[in-house]
Amino acid sequence: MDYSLSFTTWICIFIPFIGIISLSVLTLIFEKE
Amino acid sequence: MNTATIITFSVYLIGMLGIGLWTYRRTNTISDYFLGGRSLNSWVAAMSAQASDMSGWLLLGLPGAIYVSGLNGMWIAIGLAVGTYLNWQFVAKRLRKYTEAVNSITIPDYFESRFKDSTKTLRVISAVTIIVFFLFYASAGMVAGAVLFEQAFGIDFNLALYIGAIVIVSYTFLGGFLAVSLTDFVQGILMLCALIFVPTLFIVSLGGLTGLWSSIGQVNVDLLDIMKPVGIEDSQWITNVTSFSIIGTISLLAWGLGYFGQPHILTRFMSIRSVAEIPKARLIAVVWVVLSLISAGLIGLVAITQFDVPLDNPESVFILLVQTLFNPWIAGILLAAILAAIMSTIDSQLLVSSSAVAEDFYKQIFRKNASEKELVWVSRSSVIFISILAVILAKNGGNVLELVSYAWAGFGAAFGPVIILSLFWRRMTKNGALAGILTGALTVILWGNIKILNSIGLYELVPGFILAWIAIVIVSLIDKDPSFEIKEEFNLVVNHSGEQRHEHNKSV
Repeated sequence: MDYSLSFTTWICIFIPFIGIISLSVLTLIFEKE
Repeated sequence: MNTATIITFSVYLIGMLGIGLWTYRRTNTISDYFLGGRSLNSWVAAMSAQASDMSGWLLLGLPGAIYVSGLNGMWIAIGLAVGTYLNWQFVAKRLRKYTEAVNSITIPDYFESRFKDSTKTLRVISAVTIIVFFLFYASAGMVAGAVLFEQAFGIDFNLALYIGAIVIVSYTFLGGFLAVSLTDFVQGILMLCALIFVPTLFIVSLGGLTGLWSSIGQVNVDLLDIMKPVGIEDSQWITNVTSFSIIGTISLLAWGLGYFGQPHILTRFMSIRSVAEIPKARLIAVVWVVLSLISAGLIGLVAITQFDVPLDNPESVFILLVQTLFNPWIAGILLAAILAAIMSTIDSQLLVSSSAVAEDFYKQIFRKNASEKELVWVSRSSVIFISILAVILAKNGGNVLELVSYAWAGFGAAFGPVIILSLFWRRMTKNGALAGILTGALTVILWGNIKILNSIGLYELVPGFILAWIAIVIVSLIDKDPSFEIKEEFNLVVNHSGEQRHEHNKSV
């Protein structure tokens, strides 16, 4: 029998991880000081 | 005991000592010793901050937790990743600017200068907090190192403890911050390679992620659900019937709050060459932490498929996977990565503790006119003294993870709210800071000892952090307004362009 990760599990794990990497990339490009 | 593994291990240790010796010649001033003369580029600052942060916990503790509880254990990884990002995003730059503006090289030093505290109370209270909590932290690391030597080479626990302690002390003693930061950089890379290499190899052999999920699902399908806590009972993975626990999840996520108060990580922000390097360092740090946390989680998941019967000590999964799969030469390198993780944290902690002794006690109370050279030597002696105490504590045994979690909560609650508010709230006062440090530290210490509170199952960092925050706000508002000088300095730092690069005085 095949098993896979539920949609909630994928979302809970990957949104925070991808979110912080994306924010770091965006601030690297746009943060001017 | 395998000769190939010992040779690889030894080459690694000699390399680390070599870096210590090399930087020894470049360490002349107390600022060099503690901050590397604020000369770190974004790569070294980012990697050393992350390597100092992630102790043996990353290679032993997290895979062990995921091995026992499945993906539900990933909440702690999510909390830590988000905490790392927020710390780099909101604390790093201002702390770097402020500590340079007020010429501070340690956290207690910063508190004193930020609030113009001539009474030394703030400095001494924060230095005591640092020394006490790091003693337990360093001791936990020494135990973890000894367990690794013991398991990997089959040598006696006490002998393993002494060997590890001598190596760690030697290069922290010699090189100070620059050595620690450079070795942290090497160790950070080694840790990441090991973390990615080991699970990838297993996952490929299982037929990719689909194969991994299927193999785990056959053991217990709930191991694949982040919302379902699983535990090991009677040698089986059993789903906890109470299902999703809000308090449990909050406690795991709350580990991320601890970042704002960890002196060994915060000093990395102070040491970066220029604030302009911070956005790049932040991205490097965040990518490192995400990759390493996901990989550590995968190690735990892979282990579920490899060991039919649950292991006695789940935290040894990484060591066992390495020993069973790889030839001794590669196993030596991978096991050295565990040592790297342990050492890169302990050395930074020893350094911060020794700076508390030299800068905050010796210089302030005993020898106001002590020379730079004298302070470097006092720091070096205190590294030895603190290490001896840590080894004595380690010999008495104790649960490593409990100690780490306790120290992490202590720093997070005592210093986290003070650091954040001191950087963002002009109205904060010295008494507010004192109230915050004491409330945070005491809440953490008392919480575990009060039965009713302890039975809630909430990580003590959560109430400690919240109460410290409230104490700072209330006491500061009751207190009289900070002086004009303090407010002006705050405005200057906040509005400072940040483009001015720090010129390291090479002639010192």
